[in-house]
Amino acid sequence: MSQFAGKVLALISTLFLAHSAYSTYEHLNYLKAVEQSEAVLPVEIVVECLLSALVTLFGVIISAQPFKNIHLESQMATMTIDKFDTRPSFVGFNHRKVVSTQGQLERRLR
Amino acid sequence: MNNPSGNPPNENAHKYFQPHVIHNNKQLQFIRSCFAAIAGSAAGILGLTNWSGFLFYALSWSTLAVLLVVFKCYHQPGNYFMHGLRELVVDGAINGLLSYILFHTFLYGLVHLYQ
Repeated sequence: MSQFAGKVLALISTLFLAHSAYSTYEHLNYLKAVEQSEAVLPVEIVVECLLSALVTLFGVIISAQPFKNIHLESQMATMTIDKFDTRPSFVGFNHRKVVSTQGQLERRLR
Repeated sequence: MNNPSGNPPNENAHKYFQPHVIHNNKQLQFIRSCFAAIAGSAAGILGLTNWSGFLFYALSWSTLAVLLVVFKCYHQPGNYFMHGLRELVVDGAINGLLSYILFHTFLYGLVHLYQ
């Protein structure tokens, strides 16, 4: 759920970042039309650019999946003992009904 | 198995759960790519040049490291990365710089140089 909110937040502030880009472009065009030299950008554009970059970065960080603990102990704590301490048991041959070829041959010959 | 280049294999590798290591690295890669695009765009829009461009990268990289440690690692980067804080802050800096320069020059040309 917070991932979706992060994506929405990042998208909105990306739009603000694009808006600040277009604002600087317009401002430079205006300075060229009025024949003034570019000294420094107006402070509101700078603030909009920096804030929207920060909020976009924050939204991207929130929208990424949470980090998972890499220590083996935390993974082992979620497993039952049957999942990691198993070995095959002894193999047995004394089944209930013994059917062997020798027995079948004896019954047929009789 | 030889390791002709790169770091020596980690002797403590058996203590870490590999699928989670891979998952964390994938998320970090995603975050760093987006960060390079965002920071480069901001620097290009602001019209930074020369040393102020690199300074802006250093500042934004530090901001990213602080945000990651606070919001993603819950102040315990050793729980989520094999080399801890060093892997978060130092290892990807030069790669991020290259992508940052790419976006920086692109946005700078788009906004400031388009006549």
